[in-house]
Amino acid sequence: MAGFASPDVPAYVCYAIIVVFGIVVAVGTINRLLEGYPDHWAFASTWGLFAAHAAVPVILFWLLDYTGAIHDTSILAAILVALGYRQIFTGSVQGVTLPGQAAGFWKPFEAWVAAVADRIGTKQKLYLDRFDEKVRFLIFTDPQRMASLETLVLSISQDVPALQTGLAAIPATGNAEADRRRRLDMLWRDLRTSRPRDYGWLLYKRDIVRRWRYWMWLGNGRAKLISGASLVVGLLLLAGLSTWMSGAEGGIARREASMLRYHQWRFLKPNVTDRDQWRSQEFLAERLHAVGADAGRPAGTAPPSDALLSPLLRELRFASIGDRQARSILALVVNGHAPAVDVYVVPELIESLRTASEGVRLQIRNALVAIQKADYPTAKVPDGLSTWEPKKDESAGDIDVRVRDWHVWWEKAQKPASPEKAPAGSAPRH
Amino acid sequence: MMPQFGDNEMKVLQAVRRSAMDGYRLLSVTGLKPQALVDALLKLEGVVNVKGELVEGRVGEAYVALPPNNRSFVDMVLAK
Repeated sequence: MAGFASPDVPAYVCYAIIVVFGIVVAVGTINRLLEGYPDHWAFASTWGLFAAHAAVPVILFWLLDYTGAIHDTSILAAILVALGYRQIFTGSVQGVTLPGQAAGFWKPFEAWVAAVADRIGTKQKLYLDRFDEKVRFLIFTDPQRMASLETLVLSISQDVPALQTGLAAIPATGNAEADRRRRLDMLWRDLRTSRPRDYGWLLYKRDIVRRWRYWMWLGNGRAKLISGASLVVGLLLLAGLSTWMSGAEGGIARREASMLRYHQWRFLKPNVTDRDQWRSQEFLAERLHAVGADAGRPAGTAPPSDALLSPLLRELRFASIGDRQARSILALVVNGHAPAVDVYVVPELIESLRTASEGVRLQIRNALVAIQKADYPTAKVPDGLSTWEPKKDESAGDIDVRVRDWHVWWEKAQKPASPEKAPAGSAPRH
Repeated sequence: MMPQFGDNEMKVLQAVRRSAMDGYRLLSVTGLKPQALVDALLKLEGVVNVKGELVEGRVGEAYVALPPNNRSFVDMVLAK
């Protein structure tokens, strides 16, 4: 699947596809799983289940990318995971296999669905009982409603003689309220038996219950209300996010900061596609040139050198940094050289010479020499530094000596590199 | 080993396979008498989920549902 021929787009586009498709699939899945439970969207546990089903493809997509099974910049992989994540869990999608015991992850999910269904059943029963109790209380306390109910039940009963006989046979207890309650219970049972589907509607039509009560408890009103409210909240969140990320200067800065963090992540990610890394390299190089030229962008939107390069240069000190990553980082800073950038980059590179990897030390040395030749040609690097060949068994003390020598050179180099004394040809090479 | 269910149990399974419902509606859909419904639901213990009391006078107020995990089993039973 990693070599899958698919359009390669930014990862955030693929994640957006996964989220949108995932939500659509999750709605369908929940409706199918709980199809036997009318009104299931009226319960918080259903929404929890929905959120989990919507999140699973996103997590699975990330996991499959992390393990190298797919690339998170592949549109087709995104659609495949969003639509077929259940099949991937069961191992029935060829070429996409989950690592280790991840396939067993689906089992607790099924148990959760069963638990939610059981909870919904309990709640439905509770709500029906409450509706019954409330309506019966209303009827019991209102003689007019009682008379309406009696008329209604006698007009729709499946067995009028039996009902009349039953009503006549209710023994008098001497307590008027108890007698009325017994009468009501018998009428109610007959109503529910005769018209089990639309008894609520009939009660509403006879003005025994109000429309909202009927709609809320028996007309799927709660589910419609909660679904509508959830949709409105979702749309408001999207609108809020969109407003926050766009418009005025603050929005532009936030969007710029988000894009910067995104491209820094992609640039350092070990298993990105060549095209994806190129995209990030282009973005970061463009921002670096803006810092170097200090122009071409609205005031306050060009990121400072440290915000732009700090996460990347810090990686150079990591002992197990990949050769490709180190080369990419150093190529970026060398290609984007400019005195304004060097002020931050050179001291960082010098300190990064302390890294455990002799290969990376050599690459850093070469980068420092390249920057010196480009921006500080009059500040010669001592031969001992420019020809230094880092070795695997070099002691920390030896490396410290080199680092201090580079710092001494840098202090000297900075003076002629000030803008008014900058030598000809010190502009960035692009 | 597939359990053997009678006609009444099959009627109940057919009804709750479509939708969960209260006992009054189940009585209407299946055409069973209250005691017959109580007996059928007792035989279907573990297959369908019953909330409420299984006694003749109150079976109408029970709430009967088919758990999602048992749906394929019930489909198999109904197909036979």
